[in-house]
Amino acid sequence: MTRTSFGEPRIVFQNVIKQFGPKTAVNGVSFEVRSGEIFAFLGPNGAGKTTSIKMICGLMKPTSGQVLVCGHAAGTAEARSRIAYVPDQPFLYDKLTGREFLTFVTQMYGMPPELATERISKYVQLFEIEGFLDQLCEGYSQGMKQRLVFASALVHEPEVLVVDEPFVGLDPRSARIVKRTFVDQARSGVAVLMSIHLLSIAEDLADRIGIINHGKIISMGTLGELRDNLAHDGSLEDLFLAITGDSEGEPGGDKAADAVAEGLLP
Amino acid sequence: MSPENELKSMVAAINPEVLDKNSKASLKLLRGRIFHNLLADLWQNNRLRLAIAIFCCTIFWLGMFVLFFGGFEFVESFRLTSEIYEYLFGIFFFTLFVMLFFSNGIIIYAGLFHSRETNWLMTQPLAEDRIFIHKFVESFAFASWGVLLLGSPVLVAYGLSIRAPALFYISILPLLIAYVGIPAGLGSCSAMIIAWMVPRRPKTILLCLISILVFSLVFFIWRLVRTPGTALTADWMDAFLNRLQFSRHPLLPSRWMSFAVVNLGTGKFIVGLQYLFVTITNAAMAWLTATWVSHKILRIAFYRAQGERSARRRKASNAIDKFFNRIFWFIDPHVRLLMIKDARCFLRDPAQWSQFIIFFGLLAAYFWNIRKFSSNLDNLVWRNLISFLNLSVTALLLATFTSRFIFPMMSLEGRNAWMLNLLPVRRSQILWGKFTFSFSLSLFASELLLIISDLQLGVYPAIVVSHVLLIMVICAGLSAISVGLGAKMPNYRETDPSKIAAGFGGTLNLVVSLLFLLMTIGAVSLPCHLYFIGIQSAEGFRNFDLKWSSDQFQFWLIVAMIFSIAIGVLAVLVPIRIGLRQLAEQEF
Repeated sequence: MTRTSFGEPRIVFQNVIKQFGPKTAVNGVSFEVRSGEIFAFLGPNGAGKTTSIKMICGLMKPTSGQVLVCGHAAGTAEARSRIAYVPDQPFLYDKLTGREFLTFVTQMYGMPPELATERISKYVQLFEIEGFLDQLCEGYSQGMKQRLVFASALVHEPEVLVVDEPFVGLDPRSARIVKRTFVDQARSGVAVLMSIHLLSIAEDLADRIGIINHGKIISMGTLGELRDNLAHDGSLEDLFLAITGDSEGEPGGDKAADAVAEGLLP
Repeated sequence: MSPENELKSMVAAINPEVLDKNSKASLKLLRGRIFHNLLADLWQNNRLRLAIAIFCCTIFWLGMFVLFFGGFEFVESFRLTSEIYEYLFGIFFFTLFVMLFFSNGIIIYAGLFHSRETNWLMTQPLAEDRIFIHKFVESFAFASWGVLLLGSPVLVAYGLSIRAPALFYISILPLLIAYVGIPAGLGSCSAMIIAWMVPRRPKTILLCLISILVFSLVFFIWRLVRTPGTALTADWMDAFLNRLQFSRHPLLPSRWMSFAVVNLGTGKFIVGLQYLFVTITNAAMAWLTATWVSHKILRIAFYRAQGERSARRRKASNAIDKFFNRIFWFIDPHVRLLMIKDARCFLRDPAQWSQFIIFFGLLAAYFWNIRKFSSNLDNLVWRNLISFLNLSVTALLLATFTSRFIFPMMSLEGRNAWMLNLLPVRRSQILWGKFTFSFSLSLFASELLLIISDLQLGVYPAIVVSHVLLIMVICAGLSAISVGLGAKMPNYRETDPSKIAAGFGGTLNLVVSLLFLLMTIGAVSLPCHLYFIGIQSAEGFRNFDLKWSSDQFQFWLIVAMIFSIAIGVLAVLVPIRIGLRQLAEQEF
């Protein structure tokens, strides 16, 4: 069931434009993700999702516009200490064990040793990684790596969680753990932004969905609002294909553009 | 811990001082743990690899020491002034400086702006200058290790040849490490400034710098070989040293080093220590400057490097493709396609072809001017010796080229195995494609060099023919060794070819290649040397009673060639067979 009341805005994206030379990857995008909210970013490949996420995490700077994380400009030390980012291709040090990696992360955040041990223990149990925690990361499978990366992202209990394609390489059990974690995090007041291709997961988890195509948000709202806006009563997949123009015989891109022009969509 | 205390600790982490302290401590711990685990892993799982690495380093060190000790003893026999050593070390350290500047700049650029680690570190609450220091330490340690391995045998040999006092040997380590700091700091600053100012064209800038460097080197060599007068006479020496005068410029770190080495070696401790401290303080200054630059611009440079990459379109087909298709018309079209793919990858990576062109270009410039370098070329023994030395240098260069660029190819290909496996080609064709690519590229370059060298030297036609044949055998052998061993010992985890080449497989490949060269070149050079030393006496060589007739010489030359060709055939067949067998059983 979709929740509707959330806290303060944790991620603010205001009229953001990002250009790579002549190419505009993100074109005047605005949205907010509030405390306690799960926001799903949907869009076809090359739509601008990862670029937007990288700007939130301080890996890229907008050409114009403003990106704020918990009221601080993205990329500043204040913003970075409040955010956790799980990229689509997570990075781990091959020659560290999982435990050493988690300890390293807690030290970076200046956690006292007792608190660090307590937190590591908590997330090790949550993600069921104790079995291989003392082995070198170079021997981990994709799923093991992904679970460790999630534990490392949450171990400092961030206020904002940004995840790019979180279910790549996860088995059903791990995927369930991650889904449950998103919900638990949101309930504890964390703002969760996930970029995702699996529409069914967005349908299940997201409080709000933003659909981006060619660098522009072409539709945003709860699933119900998206359906109402486009007078569409099918699944999210049908809706997505209709909006992004991949539906059979329907030039959805044009339809969406028309909808934007008519003010039906943001 | 209570939630209040927790909150306090989190807020404290945002304070710049606490942030810096956390960054410093955690990154230091990270490096310590990685280093410890790496050594433990080597000790527990790869003792053979560790032993071979230590053995190779020891052999290299001893080889360098013996070579330079002989050289210094030779120079000492002339009882020249220490000024000669200042020039020699000035040039040596200047060359080292240029190489370290470029290598550190490139390593830091790749480490800061094209690495997944930095991408991740940039999202963490770490101070930018700490991230820079973390990457700088890595690059500095790598460079220091190389310089110690190369520089310490040279300095120890110098010290022993002039009977230097103990303080000289004690100062070798701080001298060399401090010296690395200066080009490392300056190279790092340049890398960050390039990413900050010209993020779209870093490769173009690198190419321009390398072109300027090559042009300067060629000009420098050209001037040296055109020193007027008869070689090794006093006037000639004056003029020659005059052309090296630039290496004594007081602002050059190479001069500080050469003065420190020579003065400490000859017991002039005050002056020697003064130059040692000048080097150390300048290294510290370079490091501080680089850290300050990183504090100011690293994040902005990172943003620009991430977001401003060139979107240049590449043509699907070009002259190189047509060229390959024409000259390799007899090769299976699938193998030809794989070769064209490799050629495209090679040509689109300036790091690969620029090194190839620089080294082969410098050798070509040297061979072209070979007659200017030596007054002994009228002597048949020396002429023969120099021609074989040129052949050996070309072959050694080829061995490093195949170890650095060809050996990692199969490892890198393994990452695309999902695609290559499904293509309508046999796995063996992939291997043969790599072999043909490497063989043709190296054959073209090395034959050209050898012919220039032999024509300039005016060696016997029979020896020219033997060189042409021998280098063909060498190209085939070296290519097969690198392709075969590359398939036998792949590293599918690593994406960086230089790290694959620097690993155990790459080192073993280089050792096998060197043994192969020793056997093939040694076999052919021996009868040639024995023949010429029998017909003409030469200064520095013992006279031999063995006097072969021309027919006897040709007979032994043919025997040696047959032996070398047989070794070459084995060097092609055995590694390729090993590689093919491994590839056939390989699971990706």
